[in-house]
This record gives sequence, C-alpha cells and structure tokens, in this order.
Amino acid sequence: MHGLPPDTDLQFIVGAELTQVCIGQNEVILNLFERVSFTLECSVSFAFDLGGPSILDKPKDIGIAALRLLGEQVRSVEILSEGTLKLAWGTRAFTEFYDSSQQYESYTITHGEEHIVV
Amino acid sequence: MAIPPVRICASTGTGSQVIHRCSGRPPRGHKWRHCPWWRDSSGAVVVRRYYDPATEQFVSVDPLVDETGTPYAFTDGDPVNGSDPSGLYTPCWDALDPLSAGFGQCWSSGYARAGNATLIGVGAVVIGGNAFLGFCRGLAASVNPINLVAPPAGPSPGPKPTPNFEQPTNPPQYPPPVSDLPPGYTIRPGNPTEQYPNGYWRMYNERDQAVDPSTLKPPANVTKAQFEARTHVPLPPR
Repeated sequence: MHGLPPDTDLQFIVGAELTQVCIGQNEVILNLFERVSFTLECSVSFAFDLGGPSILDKPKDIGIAALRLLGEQVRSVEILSEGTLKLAWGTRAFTEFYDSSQQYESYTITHGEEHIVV
Repeated sequence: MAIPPVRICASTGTGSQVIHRCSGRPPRGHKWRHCPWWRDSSGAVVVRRYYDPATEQFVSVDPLVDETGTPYAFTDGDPVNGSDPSGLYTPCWDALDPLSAGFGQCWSSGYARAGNATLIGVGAVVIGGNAFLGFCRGLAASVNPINLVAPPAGPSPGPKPTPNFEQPTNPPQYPPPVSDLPPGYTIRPGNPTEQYPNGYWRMYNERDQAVDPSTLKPPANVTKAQFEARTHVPLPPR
C-alpha cells in the first residue's frame, strides 16, 4: 500500500542469513541474522534453481517455500517498481515481495528498531 | 539469420530432468544450473515441438492454439527476433548478460507470457546468439519444480488483486498506553489512507504478529480481509 521509494537504503539486508521462518495463519515472518526480519502479508514469488517463479498468496504456502531458503544469505537486494522488493539468495534463488495490498501493509522490513512499512 | 536444424527432446518432467536426459553441453562459460540450454553434435538445438526449418513452422499443433490462433507458426512468424522456448508462445526479451543477471531477469519478467503450468517439463529451441536469453527466460518459465501454484497467464506477472475491503471491527479509538500492554507487545501507527482517513494503529505481540486488540490474539481461521479488519484500528477524528 505504502510503496517503497527506490532510493531507500536497504544494503543492511545484503549478507543477512535467514535463520528462522515463522509461519502464522495471517503472516510469515522471516528472521535473518542479524537483526533483520521481514513480515510478509503480501504475495511473494519464489524462483529456485531452474524453476519458478511461483507467486504465492497464502502464508502457509509462502512459509513452506521459504523453508528452502533457510541458511541462505541475501546476495543482493533490489527495489523494483511499485514497491516490489527483489532479493537474490545464495546462488540459486530469488524472491520478490509485492506491495500487493491496496488498503493495508503488504510487508514490513525490520532492522533493529526501525520498521519500513510497505 | 539462418535457422539451425532442430531436434526433438522427448524428455518429460521438470526442467532439471530434461537437462539430465538430453545430452549436450551448455554454452561456453555457462553453468547448467543457471541457464542450461544445449545443442547436439550438429549444432542443432533442442525443441519441444517438432519444427520444420524449411517452412519455419512447427509441425505439431500449438497446444495454446485457442489463445495464439496460430497452430503452427513459430514466434508469430518472426523466428529471428523471437523465441518460443516452450513451443507455446513468444516471450519478449531484451539484451542483458545472462551469466550475471540472466536468471533473475528470466525469472522476473519472462514467464508470464509462457502461459501456465502446462509448460512444465519441456525442452527448448534456441536460434542464433540471441536465443541464449530467450531460452533462459523460457526455461525459467517452463519449469516449476516445487509445483506450488501455476504461474498466472497474462501480459505481466504480479500478485492477485487485493481482497475486498471490510470495515474495521474495532471502533475508532486511540491506542492504549504502552504501560497497559502485555509484555513484548507494541503499537505501530499508520498514516491516513482512503479507508482510514484519520490514520490507524495496529498492535503486535511479542512474536511480531498483528493481533486483534480486543482479544490480544492474532485472529484465527479468518479470511485475509477479516484479519485486516480486526487488526487495523481506526484513529478517531482529531
């Protein structure tokens, strides 16, 4: 809903390692080391190896797909148009978080005490 | 540009299975796992549908004939600039470095035109140098090893439309003081929106889950719209 300005500095995400995937009924929270997390209430696309992309909407599906990223480090981060956040993981996976909600928060990036609400 | 001969890859299954079953080498300097296309010993490329270079047409019917209206045409009649990795459609492409960014580009923009999950498990056709990218995109589009959902058909990828808005279940009110919150709970305000002209606030538990302030729990067994309605509390008019 809020979008993500393209000049937002998200370099603190690069190098962060996914250490925990929390799957709720209404959201998925990805906790990364160190002090970075993503709270996802949006559509997310995943591409692994040769496959994908798969666009997922349900938290359970997103969480299950995200399990494959456990232990992976964020290799690069890119802000695409319309609030889409694209992450490259390790050497073989990509995700895109969409600002898919027109009325509510789509995803939140947390860095320490800072929250970037998209 | 002359169209090279092509041969059929009869493999089925996921893209990786296709790769393993179809002999050949990836392009020089390229890795299988990133963008695996291949040629046979004659330099021919692998194609999913039978293709006749003499007529520049496929010789088997396009499974998407109802959509394309061209049961045999290859890349809308433009085989030099087009590519049809799946044999089903004509992806658009643009120049980029497939080694450094190709897979990401394939993934982010190449698949929607490829259709739907029926593309799983196909080979590909490549034509000339430019076909490298085309196939890369096409392969990324054509396989789905986790088989969670089918990519949507349409001109561009993207999420589903937002569900209908539901009125908030909690009346307009100011958030409680922090001292009244359970341990670990937090309040985050939101700027005014069309539906919340005075702004809103949400309450989060110690696990960073949005909760319904009236129950202090995350809503359970509700739709997404209901979840949002219960966890967004409108601020009263100032």
